[in-house]
Amino acid sequence: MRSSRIALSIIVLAASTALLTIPVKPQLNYLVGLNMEVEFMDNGVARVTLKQHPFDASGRSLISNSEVVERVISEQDSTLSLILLFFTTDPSKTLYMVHSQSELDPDEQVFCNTGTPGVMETLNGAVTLTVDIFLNTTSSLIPLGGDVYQVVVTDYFTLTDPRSWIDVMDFRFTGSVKLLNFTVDPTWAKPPIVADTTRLQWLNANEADAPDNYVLTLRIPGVVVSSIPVRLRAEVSEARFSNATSSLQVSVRNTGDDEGVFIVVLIEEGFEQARKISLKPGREASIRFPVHAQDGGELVVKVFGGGEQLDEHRLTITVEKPVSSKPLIISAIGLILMVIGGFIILLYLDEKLKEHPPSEGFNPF
Amino acid sequence: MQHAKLIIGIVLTVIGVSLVLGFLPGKTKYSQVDQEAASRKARVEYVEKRNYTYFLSQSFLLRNPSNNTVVDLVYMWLPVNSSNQFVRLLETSMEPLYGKSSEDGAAIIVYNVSLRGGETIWLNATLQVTVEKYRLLTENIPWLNYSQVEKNTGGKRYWAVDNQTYVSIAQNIGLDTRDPIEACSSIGKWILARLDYQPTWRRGAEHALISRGGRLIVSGDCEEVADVFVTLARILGIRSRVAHGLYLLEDKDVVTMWIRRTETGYDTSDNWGGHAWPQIYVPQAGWVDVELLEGGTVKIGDFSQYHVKYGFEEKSFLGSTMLYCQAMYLETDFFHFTFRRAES
Repeated sequence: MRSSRIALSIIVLAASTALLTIPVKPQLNYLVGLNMEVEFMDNGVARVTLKQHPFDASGRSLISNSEVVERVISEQDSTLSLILLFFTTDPSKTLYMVHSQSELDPDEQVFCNTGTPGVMETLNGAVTLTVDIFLNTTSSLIPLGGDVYQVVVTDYFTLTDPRSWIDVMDFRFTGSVKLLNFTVDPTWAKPPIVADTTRLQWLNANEADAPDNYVLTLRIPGVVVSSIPVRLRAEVSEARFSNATSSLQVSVRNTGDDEGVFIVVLIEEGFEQARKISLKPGREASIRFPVHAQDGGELVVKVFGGGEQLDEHRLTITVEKPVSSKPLIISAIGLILMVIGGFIILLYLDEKLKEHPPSEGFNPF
Repeated sequence: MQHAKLIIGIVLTVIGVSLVLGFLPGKTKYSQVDQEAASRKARVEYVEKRNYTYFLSQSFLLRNPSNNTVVDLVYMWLPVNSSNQFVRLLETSMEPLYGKSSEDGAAIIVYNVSLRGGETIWLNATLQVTVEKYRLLTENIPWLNYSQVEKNTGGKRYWAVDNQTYVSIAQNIGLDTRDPIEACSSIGKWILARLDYQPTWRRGAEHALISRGGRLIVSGDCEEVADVFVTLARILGIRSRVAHGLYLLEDKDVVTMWIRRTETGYDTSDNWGGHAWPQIYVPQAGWVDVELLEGGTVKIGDFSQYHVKYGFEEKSFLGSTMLYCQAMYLETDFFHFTFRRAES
């Protein structure tokens, strides 16, 4: 079960000594009993039904309190995210379909602990939400070979807040799905009360008893593990080394039709560096890397998008000797000396000509 | 005499020609390898490192709000052993049932507490906490490798890395930066230039950025500052997370701070120092602390002895709950912390 009260976020004034009083809006305080049923079906679909029953600190049911029930129903989006997090570390990449929206079902029952140590009670009525999750889009499905998979279901409530746990976890295996093996983490968690080839069921009276992770080995025929086809295209349009800053400037252009996040990798001896860059179609942007390789070293630039390499560019660090002002000054002095020397030689020749002028009227022709 | 002129002219011309031909600039083999090798080397060096030890006494007042006897598991968070912090549990007022750690490594000890209806009890723990004040010098720090960028720079509940406004801001700030430290410094400066510090409930980066008078403002407290920083850093491919803990606002031998439940919410002592700040991962140094709210400047790897870390938030998608001391059915009415400084 979990507390749905807003957690005390003890935040705060790092650089101020002002009195901080965190206002709290008047709100409904209640706890929620949680039962989860997971049906593993052919083709790798898990149909998950979460049943919730609110109750107060004294263990009294609040299922007839319409304000509380409406609030539980209105939290469908966050409840859905929590369900997905039992199967994946990133809900945004998970394919799912809501099978039935959150609604109050008076005929359902929730089995939970309401405060009396070790005692599980049956509470009538539940807010139910059912969602189909495609396991091949989750991080929980690990292929073991053939049609055998390991499925790790994580109790995200207890992972997020150690006080919380799932009261009842009920796994069912239907169609051609077969349970081959199972373990739980931590090892001291209590074993299931039902364990056969078609069903595993845990009743967790407290957080200490409840497993954090349920690890199932299943034979699931018909699962298609496919990756999304790569549509991203990009190229290295320029890679220029700057000796002044010892850095490599890389320009990348999105040459495809889709906007995307690209990872630009620089490989040099001793280091592999990567930078992320987001580009719209046709757009180009430049990034810089510090270069650690020595002169003559080879640099390889690769661009990745959607997990695939899209382009590669190689270059060698070559450095032009910088123009120094000192040789220029010396050259200028040389030029001046040449001019002066030439002038003196001209003076010498002029004087020589005056001393021995050519004969008047002389005409060889 | 005239021949002397000729000789002088020839000599000067020859010298001049020699100088011009000998020193004209041209492409030659570059010969500054050694000098350049030094400037290209990745460098991480602690220019200051000093330990400060505190004896921390943390006490929590638990109350059974119901009329019935309740047996409940009580979870107490402890400062964490981590980079630049060393923690030893000296004693507790009750025997813990067991210890556990959260997904992001927070240290939690669990007690089994039984209270009659309306009864209260103080739960105490005494710890020795050594905080390492440090100042790091970095040069030519490489960006993370492909695997790290792909695995550890994604979005989470509070870090909106796919938000196009944030993407645009991050790229404007950081694409042209040369190394991750320079990028983080630019991010920090950008945040500080737009910060409207307002204590608030945690809203995450998505709601911390608001437009006011045509200008973007970062509105919130230390958690929003940290969330915005982590979001922008992750967009640029920098592994970053949020550290939670207590900040000692007073430089005294004994610092006491508290937070108390009231009918309308919570009151705190004037020096209450619940705090959050970002960290970045530098493979050559480990997790490096970033502080934007201490002295009004961006401090990267310049960590004071006033920070005590209780937990981190990196892997958990919904964020890590860090509540100091909480139970399911019992209420925690008073959180009390006393830090006594030991000789360092």
